[in-house]
Amino acid sequence: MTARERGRALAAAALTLLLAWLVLYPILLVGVDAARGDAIGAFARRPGEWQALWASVWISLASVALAAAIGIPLAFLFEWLEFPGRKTLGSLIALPAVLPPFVGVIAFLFLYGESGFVARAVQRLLGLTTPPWRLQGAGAILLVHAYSMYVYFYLFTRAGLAKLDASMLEAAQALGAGPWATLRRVILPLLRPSLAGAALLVFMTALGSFSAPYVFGGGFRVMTTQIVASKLNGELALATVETVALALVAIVALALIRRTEGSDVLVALGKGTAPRRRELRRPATRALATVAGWLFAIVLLLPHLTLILVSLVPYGTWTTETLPPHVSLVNYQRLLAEPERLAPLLNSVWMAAASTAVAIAVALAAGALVRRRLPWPWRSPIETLIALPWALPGTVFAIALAATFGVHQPLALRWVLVGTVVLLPLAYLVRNLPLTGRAILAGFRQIDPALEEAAASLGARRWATFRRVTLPLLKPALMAGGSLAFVAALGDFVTSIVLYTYDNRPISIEIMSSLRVNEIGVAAAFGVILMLVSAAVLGVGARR
Amino acid sequence: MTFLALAGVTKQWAHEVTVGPVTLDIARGEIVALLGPSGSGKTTLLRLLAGFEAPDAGTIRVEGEEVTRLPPARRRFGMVFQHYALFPHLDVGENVAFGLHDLADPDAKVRDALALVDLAGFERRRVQELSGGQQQRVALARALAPEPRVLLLDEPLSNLDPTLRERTRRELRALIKRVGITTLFVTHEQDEAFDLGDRIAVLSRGRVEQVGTADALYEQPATLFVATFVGRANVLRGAAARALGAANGHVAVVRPERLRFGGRGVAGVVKERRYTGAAAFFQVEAEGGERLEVLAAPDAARVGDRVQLEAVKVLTFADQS
Repeated sequence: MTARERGRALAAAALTLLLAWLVLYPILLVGVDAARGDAIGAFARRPGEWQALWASVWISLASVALAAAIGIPLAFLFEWLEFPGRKTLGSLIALPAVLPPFVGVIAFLFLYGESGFVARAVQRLLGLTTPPWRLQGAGAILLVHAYSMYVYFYLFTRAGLAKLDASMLEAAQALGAGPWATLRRVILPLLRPSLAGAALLVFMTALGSFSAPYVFGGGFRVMTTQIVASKLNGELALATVETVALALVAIVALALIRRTEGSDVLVALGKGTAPRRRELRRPATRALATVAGWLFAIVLLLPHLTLILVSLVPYGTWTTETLPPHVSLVNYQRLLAEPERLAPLLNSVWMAAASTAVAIAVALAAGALVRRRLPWPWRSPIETLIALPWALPGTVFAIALAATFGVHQPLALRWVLVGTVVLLPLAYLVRNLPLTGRAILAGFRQIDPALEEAAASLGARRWATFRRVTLPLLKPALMAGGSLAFVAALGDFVTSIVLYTYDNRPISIEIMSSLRVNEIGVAAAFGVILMLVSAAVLGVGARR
Repeated sequence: MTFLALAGVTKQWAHEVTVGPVTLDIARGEIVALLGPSGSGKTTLLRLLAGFEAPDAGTIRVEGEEVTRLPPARRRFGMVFQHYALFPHLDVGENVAFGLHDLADPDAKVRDALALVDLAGFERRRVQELSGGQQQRVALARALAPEPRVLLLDEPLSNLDPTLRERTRRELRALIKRVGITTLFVTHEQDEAFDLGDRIAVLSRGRVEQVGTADALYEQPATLFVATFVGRANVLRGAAARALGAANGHVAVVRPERLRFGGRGVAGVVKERRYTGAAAFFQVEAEGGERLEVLAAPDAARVGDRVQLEAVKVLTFADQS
């Protein structure tokens, strides 16, 4: 072993240990805690626990079905047909992505909730004395999930369709297959990896979803809300058992869906061009497609508009009217002028920025090490540890970190961080690792090693090569991964509600407290700011 | 006078895959081709020279200075990569200036380097919009701009259109000779090695089989491998070999153009004729079942003719198999 190889192995060992301490250790500690205590018995005996676990599973499955039912046909429509407004509508379709989960949920509350615009309008129209419905329970949760998660199916299916080889479809037709047979026997099997990928993403997101069940669940509990409720009740032992149960469901689901993914080889085989878009010719069909498209776009846009409108309502001025009688910018003024209100905004920004910066640094170090033909023992642990937080719901990590850093045992590498401002950004960091890691590791893989060798042969030392060649080539990956991580941390609610303290209370917690005291205008104003910052950051990150 | 000297350079990959020991002396300004089939170790040898790999044993010296363990960045060897490895985030001028980082004003040097490869005025072009031939020339200009001691080329023409290769080969040789730089290049194509190299090192299974001019390799191959890898060859064993004058246990090698239809020698039947214009290749099946290829005038024989073949020149090697 040369000195350089020794240095590399040492760095890899250090990084692996750091990641293991941050990602794996808390999970293992929770597992040990759960297995040791007598909370398992309590968990097994209470029917409520089993109901919540089952609710988590079926809500997630139903979310996959709903998201697929909306996303897949839309993808075919936009990828294969040409109609007026296709491009504009296509760019609107990702709108739900700029709404952080909790903000999306309160937008739905203002829009479709019992005192939301739609309910008020229906009530006024029919002359009812009570609101026509209450937005609560499983149906409400599924509505929010379908709205926010169909995007995954839409994007994955479109990407899969774009990779399809037109000549393969022509071959099927030449062999006598009609449109339906072609769809069933050629297109869908070829799309299988894309669809399985989308299903996995939706299932995991729905399983970890907390905001929608928290706001709309009422008596209907899923595992994530159950865990947080136990934690807030002080039943930490029970919360750890529930956490382990949820983590197990996530891991089993991950393994099952991965198995249905099939191989990508099928798609890579054909290297032809995608089928051309078919122009809709009949005027009636064109008009129908256009109208349907715009109606859909309005439905997509309504939550955003609602949020903006509610943010303009001064406190206490909107009572029974369908639309608010007064609008002003007073909420924004208060938000920026009162230090107490500005603090959450600044807290969220610094915590998101710090956790993203560290997550990028860790991913860069991992990418540089994994790439340099590391001896085999290090390579896959680093990649696995970085990806692990993605496979587990946010609540799991929140509880795990709270349990790990709630005691003082320096020899076991545990310190009391609960109640300090450090723990929440640390949790954001853990959750950000897969986002920056995935983008940056892929970025590293795309760089031709010959480019770095070329730099070396032209006299550039290692650091100069990294600065002048590697880093500029990684820029798109850095921007993409970094923006996703920043937006996720900025809008986080699941980990925040478990780990925040007064001194680092983030925006989502402030929105929740504002809602509690009925300051809906302020809550919405925070939501609008979050939405705009998210959109701007994602927009910058997507630029090439 | 030796300029670049490899002495006993060895690199072990797995247990069975070893490159070397390779010993090779190269004069100043000489162009040497490393010719061999894939897996023969020619690219490894080039990477050892560039410093991307470190040899397990042996030394590499330039003008008497040992560079064996010197990192690539301090070796001052220019390299042109197989796929050129142009930096996609930099324009043509910035690519060429990359190795001139320490210079206060690299512009003049960039201009000169681009003029040298006939790309004057291309400084602000994006590398993606250049043709393959232009990209190759930018890569060459980039490698030459810092005035390296040795130029290394990895399959320099493999990415070009076949119709472009022959012309590029001549231009490349003229350019290297004009600059006067000591050059090594890797190729698996004999034509390329013959056209471009002053001398050719033939590699097989990690070892240098023979080093010499194109004529020497063709006329006096040192081993059976060189005889069959360089140029076309009929390989005969046993009775047919003896009929051509080879001793017992020896292999006879005859080039197609050194076989002649005549009244004596190996008897056989013409099975196939492939016309190439100035001449034709005849496939003759000898009575012992061996197939021989003969290059002769197009009207020298016809398919189905019973013929006798005599050899003008026979090479013999001890049979290793």
